[in-house]
Formats: sequence, structure tokens, C-alpha cells
Amino acid sequence: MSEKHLGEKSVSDIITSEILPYLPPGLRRSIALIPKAELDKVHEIRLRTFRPVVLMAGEDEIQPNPPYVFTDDDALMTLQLIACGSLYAFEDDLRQGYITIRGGHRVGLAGRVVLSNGRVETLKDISGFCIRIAHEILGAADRVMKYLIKPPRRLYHTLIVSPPRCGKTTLLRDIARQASCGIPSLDFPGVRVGIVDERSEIAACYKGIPQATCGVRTDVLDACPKADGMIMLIRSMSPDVVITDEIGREEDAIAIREVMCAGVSLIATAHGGSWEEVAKRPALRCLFDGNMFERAIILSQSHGPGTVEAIVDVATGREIASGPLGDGE
Amino acid sequence: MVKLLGAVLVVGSFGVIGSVIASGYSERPRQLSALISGFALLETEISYSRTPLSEALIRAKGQKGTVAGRLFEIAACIIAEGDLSPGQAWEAAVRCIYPFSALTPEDREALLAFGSKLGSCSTADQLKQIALVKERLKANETCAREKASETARMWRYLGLTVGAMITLMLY
Repeated sequence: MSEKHLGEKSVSDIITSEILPYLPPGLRRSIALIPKAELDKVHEIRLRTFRPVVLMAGEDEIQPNPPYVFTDDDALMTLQLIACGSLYAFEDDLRQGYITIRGGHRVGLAGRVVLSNGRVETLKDISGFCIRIAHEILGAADRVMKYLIKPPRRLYHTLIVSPPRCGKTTLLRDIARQASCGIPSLDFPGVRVGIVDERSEIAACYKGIPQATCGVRTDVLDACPKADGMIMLIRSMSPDVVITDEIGREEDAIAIREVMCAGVSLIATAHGGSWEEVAKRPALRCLFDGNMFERAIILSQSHGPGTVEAIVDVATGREIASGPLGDGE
Repeated sequence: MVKLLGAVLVVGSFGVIGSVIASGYSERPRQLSALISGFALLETEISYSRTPLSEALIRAKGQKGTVAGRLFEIAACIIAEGDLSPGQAWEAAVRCIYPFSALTPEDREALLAFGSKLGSCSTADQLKQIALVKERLKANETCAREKASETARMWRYLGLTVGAMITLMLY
């Protein structure tokens, strides 16, 4: 995506203002010395104990100059800063293996797993951090919205399929914004949107208030398990569209069926390289057997994150738009 | 008449001095009681809403100007700065308020022991730590109240007695 589509902040500004405060002072100084042009390409920061810090820019790796070796004290301090000195407040997140920090940036964690009755109880001795930088791109969904609208004022049940780091959440957030605000050029009035944001990445809520632009008619259930959240939203907020990220468990599939059968449009994302790959996932099979979804958007990285490879009409299996749909389409 | 007025003034003054010293002894149980209330509020913040520590401490600080309020506020500020671990921040806050409080070394030890695991364990463990510190402070408060009521009564009587003695000597 070109920089002209970014929100007000560039990636380097996001790193400086939203990521660096969570890092130890020495590392903050080291990253601040990296040229702005290089920082603008970064999408991930990888911290591994006793190994050099690496910033990922696409497939390229950038290292601070001189290289910064991340120590065990750095790891302790980073964890403490990320958890605001309150590990108890992030117990569920630790169990899932990540903590989402202010701004919707997800920090993946690696360490020693503690089991209880065969299930992950928590993580300890945390030695690896993967900070994924989230940034909203207003207009990311411009190219797909016309294929998702079911006149006069509904959206098709849609599944966005892509491997990690291809811009699923960015696209989903902008779909939520456009559905909520309305699209005058497509004669689509705004509808009530409900977001179940289990990982706090779509709306990037802070103290319950969305920090990302997700529309004027949007209600967000933050940090809520998807399956419970979808049902709660339908009962409490009567949305026209329910939006959720990264479905994959059996209970998600059951809740999705409930939503679809309640006359509410559903837009979700799932990890996968293709539609066929996702359809093979046992937990989601019931959704595909019943052809519950009407549209599928396949994303890839072939022309950078957010490249739309195809939009498929699931009922006929026909590609109604084929990509790659780049910035200029 | 003047002598009588003078006698009343002397006895009254010493009575007030005795009462002032006596009230100093009841300050410790009051401060301990405020700390126990603060920890109870902190317990609610942690168990019910899993509020992060710096925010939970601010919400639990209770009345402004009390020792408990100052302790929680200072600890919250240091934690929010992020330069010290929550345990270190709590220790710094305890050491900061201690000289200006009526607390004793055993109260300070109870507070410092609470900080050792602060913010670095699960909710259940954190709540256990709070229960433990509340129990220790409650035991200290009971002792302090007993001691305070005996000593305070003694100082009040002593003030009046000394006042009366001086009046008699002046006559």
C-alpha cells in the first residue's frame, strides 16, 4: 500500500510514539537512530534473548547500527512495560501467547509453557517478543466494497482468506468503517456494525473506546471471545453486520451459523493460502458444507500486503474479480 | 477572681496538651485502618475488573491526604513511569511515606513484604498477597488500638493532673 493511503501517522511515527515506550531505554535509543525512511517500511520488531534485535521490512531484515543484543534483563523489562507492571491483568492474553498494547499492536510471546490438566495455563521465562505494528489504512477496502454490497442495504456473508501478514485485519477494519459510515458513491447507506474484537486489533480499543477509525454506527465488544461475543452482540446491540477476526475454532463456526441464521450479515477472516485450504479445516467444515458464506476475498503479498488476488462468488465458485488488485486496480 | 481564672487556664492548657499527645497515639490505628480499606478496594479492582496496577492503585487510594492515599498515589506514579518494577516502585513509595506517618517498623515490614510479588504473579496469587497484608495490618491495628486507648487515657489524665499540681503549687 502506498503511503498516501495511510492515516495521519506514518509507520516511523507509530514506532516512535506507540512502540518505543514499551522497550528498554537502551533499545529505544538504538531504534531511534535508524533512518526514518527505513523505519517507515517496518512491520514487525523481533526481540530474542541474547540475540540481535531485528526489524522486519517485508522480507528484508533491518538491524540497528551497531547491532543491539537483547539481554534477559531487557526481556524482563519489556514484559513489565508491555503488561503495565500487572501480569495478573493479562492472564488470558498470556494463555493465548500474545498481549495487545495501546494502538492495537500485537506482541507475540515465546517462552516456557506452564500446563494445567493438559491445557496451557500460562507462559513463563518469556524470551521472545514479536511486535506487529498495526496501522490503519483508510480506503484499504475501496476496491472490494462494491462486490460485498447486496442491494439495497445489506452486505454478503464474506470470508477474507489469507496467510499471516497479508493485511486481513486492515481490510476488515476499513470494511467496518465503510459499512458503518455508508458509501454514497455506491448508494449504500450506513448500517449498524458490531465488531467482536477478541484481540483488540480491529478497533484497537483503549479503556473501551476505539482508537482506530471504525465508523459512526459501530459498536465494539473488546477482548471478548468471538463465539460468545457474536451472540451477545446480536442480543444486545441488534447489528446489521457482525465483524470478527481470525475464526478457527468449532465454537466460532457454531456462533457464525447462529449469526447468519439471525438475518445478520457476517464478515470474518481466516488464516489460509486459498479457499480450498480453509475449507479443509475440520473446525470450520460445517460452514463450508452448508455454503454459508456468499463471498470470499483471497489476499496475498504478491504486490505487497493487502493485495486482493480474487473475490469469489461462493455459490457458483466463479471469480467475480480477479487480481492482483493493486492500489490502482 | 483573677487567680481562679488563672487556675482554670493552667489546668485547661495542660489538659489540652495531654489530649494532643493522646491523639498522636490514636493516629496509628487510624492510618492502619485506612490502609486496610485501601487494600480492600485494591482487591476489588484486581479481582473484579483486572485493572492494571497503576490505575487500580489510583482508584483504591481513597481519601486524599491520608497516608494510604499518599502511599498508593506515589506507587502508582512510579509504576506508570515504567523505570522501576512494581515491587521496586512499591518499596520506594513505602520508604517515602514512612517518615511522615505514625506507622511503626513492623507496619513498614508488612507493607514491604506485600511489594515483593506485586504485579508479577497471577490474579489468585495477587489476591492472596493482599489478604496476607490485610491480615498483618489488622493484627497490628488491634494491638495499636489497645495500646492507644491505654496510653491516650494516661496522657489525658496526666495533662490534667500536672495542670492541677502546678495550680496548687502556685497557690
